[in-house]
Amino acid sequence: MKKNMLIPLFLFLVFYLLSFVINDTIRLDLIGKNQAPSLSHLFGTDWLGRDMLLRTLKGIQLSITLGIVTALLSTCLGLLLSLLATFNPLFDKLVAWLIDLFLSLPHLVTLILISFVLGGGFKGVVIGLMLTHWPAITRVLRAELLQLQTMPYVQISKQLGKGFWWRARHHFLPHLFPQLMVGFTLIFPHAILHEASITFLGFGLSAEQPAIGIILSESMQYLSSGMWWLAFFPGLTLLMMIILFQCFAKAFKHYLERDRSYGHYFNG
Amino acid sequence: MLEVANLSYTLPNQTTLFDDISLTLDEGEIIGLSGASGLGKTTFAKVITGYLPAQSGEINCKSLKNKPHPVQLIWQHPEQSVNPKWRLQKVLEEAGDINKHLLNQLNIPFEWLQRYPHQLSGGQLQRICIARCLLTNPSYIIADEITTMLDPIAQAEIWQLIMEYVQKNKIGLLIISHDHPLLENLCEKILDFTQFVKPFEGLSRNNDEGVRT
Repeated sequence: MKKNMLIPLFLFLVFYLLSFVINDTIRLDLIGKNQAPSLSHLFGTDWLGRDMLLRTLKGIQLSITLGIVTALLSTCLGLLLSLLATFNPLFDKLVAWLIDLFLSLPHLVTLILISFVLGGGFKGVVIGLMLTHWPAITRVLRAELLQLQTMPYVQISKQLGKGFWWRARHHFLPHLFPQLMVGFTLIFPHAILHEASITFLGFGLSAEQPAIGIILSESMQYLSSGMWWLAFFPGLTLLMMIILFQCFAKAFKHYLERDRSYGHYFNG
Repeated sequence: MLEVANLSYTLPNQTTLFDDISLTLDEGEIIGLSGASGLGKTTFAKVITGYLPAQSGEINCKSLKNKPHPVQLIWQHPEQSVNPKWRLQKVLEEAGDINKHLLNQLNIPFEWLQRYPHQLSGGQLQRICIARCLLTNPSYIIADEITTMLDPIAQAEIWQLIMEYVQKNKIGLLIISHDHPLLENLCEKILDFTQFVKPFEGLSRNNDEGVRT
């Protein structure tokens, strides 16, 4: 059981931390440019002869950091807002109105606006992504909470003298955990792809930063000339990282909910 | 003494469910309450125990902040009244520190505390709910059809345990049930809820037994 959890986490961390090992700057090699994958360049080289494996490993770290930070922040924001909405009917109206407002605007327009106001860069992109990705998860959490509040055991808890925040922590959170987990893993790749598109449009990260989004948007111009490896391997790596993360999240959830009731039958 | 004076409750759709109920329940007294389905017995129980606000009337037992309500309700469906994601130890701890003696009295083995609610049967869960209720040291208990879904043997077992505890600790008990023989066995006094119910006007009306049709 523990193996299922630790192996994906270990692999994830290894890939994530690998770029710290790559200390030397990625060299240009104009003689060996546009090479297909080979033993000396596993992921091939790009139009400046840079090794794509090194670029991908460097890029994956920045993208994963950005994805995790954004997903974490917007899930937290969603949780906070949905709890506030259950706390008081007035807040509920306000939150519902805010959700409608943000969902009625196209993601990218709001994202460009916020990122532009904050001056772009890592901070601008993260805050922009956080402020555009919370409505979907807040809507799900709010619906779940509305249902939970009518459950007898929550009402009993009130009559047992427990306050709202105690109930939120002990009654609501365990029920919201699957939604939070799914919301988090859905926002995570979404944020990375949005980072790529906003960078592509020139409002996000600067082009010298090695993010997966930048690699993917640059490779767009070369795809038509048959250089498939520029997009394929970085995309595959990103996908693999997300799957590893999801494996870990799933095993972790099972570990938390494991059956301890009949343990004494096995432990003597 | 639990005193309820001139209590009435109106549904959100402006239907008056019951009107002008007055009732007293002494410590150690056991009263039965019967009446046809759908008259508002459970709603009445919820109003007394603080789950629903009364439209008018007075109840002399109010809950204090962050303290369990002195009048505790035991619900009809134990499966719905425990959090399915909690181990039963936490369910009991929500009400107060676990009292080993009390668990022994209610025939709750310690192994159960590490289980989840779905790993217990209905009667076992109802015993857990009763234990949770008793752990708050209530002055009064409203038992809302708490043995309706159990077979006669399990029913007898549960009532025996409750009656013992209630008589020893001088707790006022209001039993809501359709089961007249049960009420006659247990209670000093049986009230018929039909007398508190306002006859319906318009399309729906009450028949002889007070059933809303």
